[in-house]
Amino acid sequence: MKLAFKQEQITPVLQTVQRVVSPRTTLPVLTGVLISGKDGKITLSATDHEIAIEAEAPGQVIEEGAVVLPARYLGDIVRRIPGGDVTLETGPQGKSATVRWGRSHYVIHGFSAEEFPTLGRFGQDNMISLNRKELRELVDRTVFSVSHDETRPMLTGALLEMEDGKIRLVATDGVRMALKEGPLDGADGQKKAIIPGRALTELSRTLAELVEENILVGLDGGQFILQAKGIHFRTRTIDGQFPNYRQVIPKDIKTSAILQTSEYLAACERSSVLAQEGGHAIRLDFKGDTLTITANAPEVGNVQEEIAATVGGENMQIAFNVKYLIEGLKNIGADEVDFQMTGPISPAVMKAKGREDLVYVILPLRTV
Amino acid sequence: MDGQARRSIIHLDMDAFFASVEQLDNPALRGRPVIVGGSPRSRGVVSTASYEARRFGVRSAMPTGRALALCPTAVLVTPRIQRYVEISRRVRRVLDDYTDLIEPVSIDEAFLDVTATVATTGRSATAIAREIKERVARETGLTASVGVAPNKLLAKLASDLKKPNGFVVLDEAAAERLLPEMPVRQLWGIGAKTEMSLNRIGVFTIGDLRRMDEGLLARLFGSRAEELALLARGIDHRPVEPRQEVKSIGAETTFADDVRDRERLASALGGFADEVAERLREHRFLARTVTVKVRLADFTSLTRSQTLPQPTDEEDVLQGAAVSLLDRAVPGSHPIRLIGLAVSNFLRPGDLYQANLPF
Repeated sequence: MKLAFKQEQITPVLQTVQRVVSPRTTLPVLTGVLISGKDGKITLSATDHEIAIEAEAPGQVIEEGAVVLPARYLGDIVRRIPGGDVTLETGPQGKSATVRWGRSHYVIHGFSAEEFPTLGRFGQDNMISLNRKELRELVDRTVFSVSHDETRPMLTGALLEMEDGKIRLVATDGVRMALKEGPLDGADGQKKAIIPGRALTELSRTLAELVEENILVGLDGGQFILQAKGIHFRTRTIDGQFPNYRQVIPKDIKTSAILQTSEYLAACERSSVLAQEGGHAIRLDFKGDTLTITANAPEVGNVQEEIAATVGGENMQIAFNVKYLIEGLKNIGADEVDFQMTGPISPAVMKAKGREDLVYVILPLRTV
Repeated sequence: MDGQARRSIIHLDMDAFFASVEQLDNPALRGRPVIVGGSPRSRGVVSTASYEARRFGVRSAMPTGRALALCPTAVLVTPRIQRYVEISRRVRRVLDDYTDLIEPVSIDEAFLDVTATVATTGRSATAIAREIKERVARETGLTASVGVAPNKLLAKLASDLKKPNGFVVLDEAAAERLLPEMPVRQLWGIGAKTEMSLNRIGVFTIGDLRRMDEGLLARLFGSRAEELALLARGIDHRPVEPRQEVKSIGAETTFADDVRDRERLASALGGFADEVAERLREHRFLARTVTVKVRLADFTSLTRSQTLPQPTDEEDVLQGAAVSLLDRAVPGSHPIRLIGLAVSNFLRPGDLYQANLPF
């Protein structure tokens, strides 16, 4: 195989694909990126058994063929080559390649392409068309709430639901839950699956790098598939029943406070400096037009912050782990937040003021 | 009576503590039934009921919803643990003036060993106890029930006899008249489940327990049988242990015969769960970690621990965790010599813990 390409054009594609490669794997060939030249197209592929990615790179196929090169070395070298023309040519056994530019060349040993697992078909039927930014928004506003507790596998992913003109992603770790909803055209029936958190993080980065606004997604036989121009992404989904998230969205709201997101977030972040010494506990006291935040670190000192709030309903005193408040506020994506509470030891919920498409449920701290 | 030096032990128990603090701070609540507890809407339970509410049958640990049904005129107050801790410290400062041997049992209850104080001041334990009771009333505005006796068991029974605002001195002779008629539940270490299994074999009073066949007692209680037989006779050597921070609470038994029967093991764990849960509630602690300890017939010892998803003081949760730990520690039907259950990693009154979503 012999390929010719521009350094500046292949580098971003290589970086996208390379991220899927797991540095620790029982199958050595999976530490590599499969590079192939066929039908005039250069394709880079990688998989870690859970996620698979295949991306087309601009360039010229001079001689067809394929090789697997170790992702780390290939990536680090290509990234450092000065911009301009580069060629890549496989060695006689098809297990190595020579990368040439200017007056230099590097020989990299890898694996024969036959050793690389067949990635199979990236589904084509029944794909649903989505806006790239919308999907990325769904992922970014929820993925931080995914659980890392491997003893409850179904919570290590987020629930994707597509139904009745809505697409929805829901993530929870048992203490808080993030739900984001968006419009969906042209989907009939209900489809749902649990997508692993790591795949979602990867998906978000990949979506950020794409230029094309129109993408296709599909759920098919235990897999979630994404297609965009020149790129295919696929991940295994998680078997199991996602908890009934609807039942935990509080309805019986007793206190509702409208706050400036940035002001609330800044106060939480400041108080967390001391609160981290006391198990990240902060107390919130909503009364009249004020939210008073207090925290106590016995060895260090204590905190009292007052910020303006428009409090409706009952006065409320409630305590939270400030980390969960901060993460929720950072991801609310609105200037004003509507913070709704149902009682001092019952779930609270954050929404962007006047909107229902983003729901962040958070459980308070209880006193012994 | 048993060759040990005679001790003077005082047990002080604040009357309906949380409810009394609320009535102290809010005069409008005085003389009215007050329930301190969680809201019935969040399936809360009663922490403490004032004596006015107890007249309607309201008891601690009862679901608040049921309590309010029994006593619709009661005022429900959300607990203010920090305030109770503050007053508890004030009581403690009074006690500190009389001895260093103070063992707080919980936020509202403590044992004092004033044996040395009696010896050095020449004052009687009764006079000291009466002064403590009066000073607590003066300095906190709250009443306490006080028992004076030669050991912890009798001191606690004494403080319990004339609640609220009681003052009872119980010597061995008086104890001997009272004990045989008392329910077995009054003995240290006998919880609701153990009581039920004793009731099933016709043992209701401490007198019944005394008359039990030694072999049967040993079969039921293993290595604890001897201590229980002593307690039933009003003898209790447990020292007042000051300042010792409780790090774990547990119960265990060595069987008279090695046991393979899983049901019998599970029921032993159930008894321990019962006892441990009761002691957790006495301390007003919640436990995060459950440990099961097993010694096999060949003297191999094993322990298995589990951190619970939510801290607890409930016997059913403890028993469930303990039985599954036993299954993991000793699969199959190995003969077991000793079995024990302990809890640790405590949350104490005023501590905060994370609530979880119901899944």
